[in-house]
Amino acid sequence: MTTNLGDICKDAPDSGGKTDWTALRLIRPDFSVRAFSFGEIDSLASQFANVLEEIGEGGGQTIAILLSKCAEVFYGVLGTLKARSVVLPLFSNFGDLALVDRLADCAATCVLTKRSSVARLQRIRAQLPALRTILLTDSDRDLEPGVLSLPARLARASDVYQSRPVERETPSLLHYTSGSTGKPKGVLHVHGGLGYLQHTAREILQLRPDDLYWCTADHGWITGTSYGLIAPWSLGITQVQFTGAYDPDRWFRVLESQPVTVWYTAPTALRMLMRTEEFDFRRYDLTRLRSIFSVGEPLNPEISRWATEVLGHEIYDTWFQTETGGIMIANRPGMPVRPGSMGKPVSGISAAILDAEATICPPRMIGRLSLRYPWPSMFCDYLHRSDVYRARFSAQYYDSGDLAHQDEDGYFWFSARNDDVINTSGHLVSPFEVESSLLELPEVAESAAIGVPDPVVFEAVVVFVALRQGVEAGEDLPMRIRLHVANRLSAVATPREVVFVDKIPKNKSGKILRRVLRARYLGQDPGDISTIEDQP
Amino acid sequence: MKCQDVLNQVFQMVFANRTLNVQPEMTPNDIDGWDSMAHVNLIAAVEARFHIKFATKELRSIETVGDLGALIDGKIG
Repeated sequence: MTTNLGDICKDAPDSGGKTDWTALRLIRPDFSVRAFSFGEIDSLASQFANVLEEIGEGGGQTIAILLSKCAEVFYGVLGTLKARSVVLPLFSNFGDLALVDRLADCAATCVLTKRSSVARLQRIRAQLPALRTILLTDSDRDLEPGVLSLPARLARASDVYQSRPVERETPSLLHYTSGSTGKPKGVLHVHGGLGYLQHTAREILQLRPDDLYWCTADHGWITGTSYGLIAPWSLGITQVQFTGAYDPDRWFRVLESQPVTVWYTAPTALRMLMRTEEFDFRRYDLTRLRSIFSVGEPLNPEISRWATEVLGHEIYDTWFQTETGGIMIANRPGMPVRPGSMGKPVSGISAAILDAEATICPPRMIGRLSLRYPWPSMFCDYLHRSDVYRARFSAQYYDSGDLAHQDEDGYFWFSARNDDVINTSGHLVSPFEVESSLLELPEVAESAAIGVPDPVVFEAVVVFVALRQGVEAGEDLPMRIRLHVANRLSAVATPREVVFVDKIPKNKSGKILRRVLRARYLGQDPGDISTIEDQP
Repeated sequence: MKCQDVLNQVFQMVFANRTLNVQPEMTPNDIDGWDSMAHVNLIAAVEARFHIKFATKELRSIETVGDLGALIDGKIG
């Protein structure tokens, strides 16, 4: 048996058992602050668990959270875990198609959201037969059967919930990840990985009891739940969270005013900061800031140099995946940083670069970045896709799907993905999902999506579209195509560019040859094109 | 058609909401889905619809629908 992850605020050791120790400083866009103690968060989570029990959603259900950053996300995640249901945090900007794919696959029975999302959910409800309850954070009354008020129920719910210890393998968190083909896969985690998350928070992030820690990741990302909720609070660390959108001035006011001591953010945000013209970073006092970490995409060496020069800090890049649950390879204070490198494995983790025969590659040879398993925070399955799950493991190693090399001193260096998945601003976008959404447009006969290098978001989505016979590409069609993808999937998947072509190159079995499109787009040699169907 | 009406059409298209009726005082907090990613799409759609281009400095001054409308008015006269 192990600790229920939902009880981390009750059990947080470094708060010295003081329930009035601040767990969360929630900063609104107008810079008003609402502080929550560990005791308050735990009480709210208990109330939420009792609400779930009252409406029949406790114990083994899947509860989705469709909210941007707010207090309800934090206690909603913990309350769901206390009630031994599985929690699915979603990006609040997901479109209809992205929501259907995820909510239907996991048969979510309840969605915690706002009134403004009800119309979106009602549009797709016919495709979600398992969905019974929409729980609203901003309505004082029930709107109709199955569309219920959370505040009304919280007000009468007990703040005591006797959560029972759980089996180590009891499912806890579900995050979806995209691949080159097929629908997104549900990556299922268990309650048993807490010790490893604490280990990495101590060894890599080097969090201390007196820290004010800010993780900017949304909870739709594994980073947002592992390191923006579970790891810091389980160690009694006070978190700062900003509920507004990205804005250089506001972000730096947060860093200065709190003051933040450890900041965990993303390379895209840092690249956007670096390129912000007429912004005087030096007018902010960041002397209390001890460390900056990043995750999600490779960190360019020029960002490291910029941060050292302008912010006066090195940036420690970290690497992990939805599947790994916690940080696997990282730079960290006390270890010399080699700009552009992923760093070295966390203690207890064995990483290797393997060739096609699963033999360890010599230094500087690019191969498949692999992890020796098991490790405590690893996922336990792809929901309904155990065949794909098993295929990721060989006799000793888990294949990350990333290509990398290791230097003579043990530092790892990311090279590329081993598939066609597009990493844009740290979000993995499936070309298959983009192509599927494009085919919904009546003008589109065929489509293909690729990622191309981009100086800010790492990779930008570019789509190739072949129109149906007789259809002309009018002036507004590129914009309609871009917005269609944004609204059906997510704003992050919006194509940067729409390229109209006569035909999409495919091989004889009908597989889209994205490498050929990518090479042609970038003006490179497409290599062997003998397999293209109808090649002249 | 008035600039405000065209702008409303753009918002409806960007946020896939045909019932949306934007007002000058509205902020991203008032419109579901108006986050930093969607903002990029909104600006691109406005630029395409009105055949204008915004400078980076101008974009940073937009906090409300009214701010955006005023910038458009300033460019199309």
